[in-house]
Amino acid sequence: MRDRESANRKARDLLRMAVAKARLLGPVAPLTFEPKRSCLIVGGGVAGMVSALSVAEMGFEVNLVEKAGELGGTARRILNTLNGQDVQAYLDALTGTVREHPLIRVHLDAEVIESRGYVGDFTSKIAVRGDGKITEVGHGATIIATGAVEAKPQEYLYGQDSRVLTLLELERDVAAGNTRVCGVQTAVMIQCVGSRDDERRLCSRVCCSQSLRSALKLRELNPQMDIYVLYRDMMSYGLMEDRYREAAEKGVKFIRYELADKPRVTAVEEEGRSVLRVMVRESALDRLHMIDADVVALAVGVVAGQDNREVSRLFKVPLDEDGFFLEAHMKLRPVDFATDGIFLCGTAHYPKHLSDTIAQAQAAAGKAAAILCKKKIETGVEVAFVNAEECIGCGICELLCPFKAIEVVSIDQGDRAHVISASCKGCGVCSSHCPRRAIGMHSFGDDQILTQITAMATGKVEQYA
Amino acid sequence: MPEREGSEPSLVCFCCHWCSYSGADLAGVSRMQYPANIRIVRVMCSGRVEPYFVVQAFLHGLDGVLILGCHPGDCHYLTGNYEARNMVAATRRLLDCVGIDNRRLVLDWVSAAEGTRFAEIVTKFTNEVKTLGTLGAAKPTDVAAVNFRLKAAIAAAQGEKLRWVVAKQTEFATKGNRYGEVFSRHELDRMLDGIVADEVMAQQILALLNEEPASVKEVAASLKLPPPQVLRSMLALRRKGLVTLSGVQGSSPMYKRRNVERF
Ligand SMILES: Cc1cc2nc3c(=O)[nH]c(=O)nc-3n(C[C@H](O)[C@H](O)[C@H](O)COP(=O)(O)OP(=O)(O)OC[C@H]3O[C@@H](n4cnc5c(N)ncnc54)[C@H](O)[C@@H]3O)c2cc1C
Repeated sequence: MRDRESANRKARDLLRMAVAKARLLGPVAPLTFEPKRSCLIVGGGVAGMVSALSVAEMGFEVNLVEKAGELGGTARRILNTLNGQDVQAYLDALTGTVREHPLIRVHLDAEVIESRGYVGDFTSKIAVRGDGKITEVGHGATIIATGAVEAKPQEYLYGQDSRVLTLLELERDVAAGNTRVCGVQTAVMIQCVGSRDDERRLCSRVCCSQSLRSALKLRELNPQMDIYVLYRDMMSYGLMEDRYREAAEKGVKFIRYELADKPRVTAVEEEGRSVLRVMVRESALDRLHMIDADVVALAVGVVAGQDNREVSRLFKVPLDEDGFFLEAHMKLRPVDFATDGIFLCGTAHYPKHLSDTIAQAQAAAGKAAAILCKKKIETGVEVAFVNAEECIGCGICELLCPFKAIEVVSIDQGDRAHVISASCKGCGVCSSHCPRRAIGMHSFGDDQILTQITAMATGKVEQYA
Repeated sequence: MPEREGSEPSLVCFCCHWCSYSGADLAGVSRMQYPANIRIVRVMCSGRVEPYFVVQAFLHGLDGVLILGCHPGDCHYLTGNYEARNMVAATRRLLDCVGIDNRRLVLDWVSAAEGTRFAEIVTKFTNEVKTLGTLGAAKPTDVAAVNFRLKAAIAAAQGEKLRWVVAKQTEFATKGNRYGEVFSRHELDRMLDGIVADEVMAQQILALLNEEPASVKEVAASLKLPPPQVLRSMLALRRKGLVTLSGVQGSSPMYKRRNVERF
């Protein structure tokens, strides 16, 4: 650890091992075929729709599967962006274009229940709730855009007192012109609710801008209102800083608190007025503030959708510790999964603003189209092969293969195992167990693995035996 | 197993492509710190790591073998990690027969998201092997004896019988054998114990007889095993046509290795 000498030795060994293996690699006969020129997109939020539209605009068919009864996802509940763009107008236009596009088939109230295959040649089943109709679709690429959801708060009287709302609920009431929030004297917003603590470590990235936006909106509607934002760190990154400054100039009060000393909210009667009393210790001045509020809005953050686990099993793609989908490499392959031909975008990946979601959706669409437009796809190179002279047709490989990619067939010399290359995924379990050691693996053969051990053990690249 | 200076253990870690290798990558990208003793060999699935590879690694003088796969239920190949578990069960027993502490072989699960867990497992394993000491630090005579048994274990791991039983474990535990008898884990473990010990002993006998003919008593003495057990094994080898009688010395029959052509 932090030890250059041994790190260097390790690097040299790893290199030596790679060279040893590379020396034994043989030519492989790749499987070439024409990809299915269609894309399956799971999730019909902004991410799913934007990627569907970009893929379709490039001339490929799209099946867009949305489990709810309408398209749009979380964005349906967001009125404007912090820069004042009208999200609903954008969404309506996007939904309209998607619904009318001749190459996009939208499946509402639907879910994918089965998926198999590999890059260029996937087959999935889509089930529609209600009528139970099942459609089978072939597709060359897959995009996962199942989004995320608003967290449900467990504290600050949420669910017990109707004056305590989440930010999205506040936004809904502001839009409806509900006097319960627009006409009041004092509003308090509490940031980082249920976030950035031991239980849920992540920052949801969008809530600070959400609060700024709501604060500015309330200020505009009611210049007399006292507005407080209780925060731990204000993440108004980039040009959002201007809005933060604007809010401060317009009299929104920002009070910093510490995780160890969180605000407390109680419902009390004060001079005949029923209020939510918020006690908060301003950490820099170590001063306790008492605010009597009429409405308290909680920045609850974004959590991974409950479906993610199921979707991750279905498509065999991994989740991170917080239940979001995990990309193949955070820097080098940001919209890819390790499995070729499957991509991700939007908040299914991690919480992000609409602008980031849109950019990422276009990136995923670009990656998918790069597969769909190929004349020929090459895959399935690292498969098993049988040495027919050693094979006695015992059938153990057939028993163990999880993909039914190996079967015992009768030939003139007797029973022999036969690998169906197109189905073989190269796990090597057959090779590990063959009693006659008659099954070899391209790129992961006994010699190719053992030579690496010899290389690290002896410091030399030589035959393993 | 060559003799080696120093106390830094040399460890190999087999990582499956889909989960643990990505987890290791994440540990790297996140700049987590863990001991540099480990060298990673990537395989597509932990189910590719057969007992043969593990015993070979020890013969080459490595001090520990770590096998990391996807969490149960998460295997990209559905059941490959369960096969890894079955194989490790057999490999542990091979190591017991050889006289190598089976804590030098660890199978564990790391998902693609668990960079921290990867670093923790590697750190813990490295420290564990450090306390066990390096294998090559033993007395040269012990090293020679362990090597002799390791070679027998390697032959056993390559042999049809052991591979067949290891491969059939899942079937025996779920569907049963050809008579429909389903085995409990305990019964399977006992069966493995017996077969591994028999196979390693048989291979040691063959290795000894390769050099010169010997009696059961002589073989038992040099293998430090009870003569009745050796006799049973010898007779079994004779039935299979792998050894034959070469004569009688005093009152003891002498056995020699018969080199059989493969059919
Ligand atoms: C609480 C909250 C506040 C936010 N505030 C802001 C903000 O102020 N400004 C901003 O720019 N961004 C904000 N965002 C982020 C913004 O909502 C997202 O960037 C964007 O909406 C994500 O779109 P999406 O398509 O990735 O996900 P979603 O909008 O979540 O859409 C996913 C869709 O997939 C569907 N789905 C899920 N599982 C399945 C399945 N198994 N099969 C089929 N369909 C499925 C869902 O029904 C949903 O329609 C906020 C997000 C949240 C959660």
